Amino acid sequence: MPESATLFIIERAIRDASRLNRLLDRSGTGNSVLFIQDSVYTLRTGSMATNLVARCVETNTVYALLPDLKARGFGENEIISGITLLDYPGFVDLTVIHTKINRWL
Amino acid sequence: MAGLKRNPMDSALPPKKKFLFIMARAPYDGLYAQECMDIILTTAAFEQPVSLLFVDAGIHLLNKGQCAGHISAKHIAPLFQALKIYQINKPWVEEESLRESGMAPEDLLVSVRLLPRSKVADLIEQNDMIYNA
Repeated sequence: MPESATLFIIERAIRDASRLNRLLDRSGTGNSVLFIQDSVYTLRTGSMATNLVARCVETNTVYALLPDLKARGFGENEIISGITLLDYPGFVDLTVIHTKINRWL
Repeated sequence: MAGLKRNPMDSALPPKKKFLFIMARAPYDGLYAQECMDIILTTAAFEQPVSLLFVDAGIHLLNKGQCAGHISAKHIAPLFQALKIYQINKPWVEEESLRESGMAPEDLLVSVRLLPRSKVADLIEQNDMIYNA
């Protein structure tokens, strides 16, 4: 990960793929994208966002908060592949190693 | 003036940080826009370099045809015309968002710089503090 990488956080539910597409396009490459809260619904294999997330995994590091997935009934094997699952301490580490954090609306 | 000491804080001012405000919400959606402009103008009043980027429904904040009186809302347009006074750079507008809104640069309150969506991450990278509003 480049030293100047930005951590992009997506937290609101993704209701249409075009919004997710816009947010991912604005997140550039070589950065980190973290899904938390209601945004994790979109990470289920076969969801409308599968292709978008799969494409993002190729150019950015993609993370999801595991407690948020589990709380919503998602098993680890039901998630689009290539996503790193984090616990809370892992989330904290992520905020420490990035110089910049941007929480998308 | 004899005896007037220089403020010891002057030499110890923290380095300035570059602030980028990303405006994505439409005007008249509650008080978000007004409150965000308060934050922006306060940041600029503290002499921090401020940049603005308008995306998605936030583009409509800059529509020069808006007339808030029709819905008894507060006029927001004068705030954007005040940006120059606060030495805030020409705002950035995401090209794709502007196109999707059906507006052209001539329809906007102030003159802007267009930025393609693919360059948004670069703009974020050039700033220190990012605030989504």
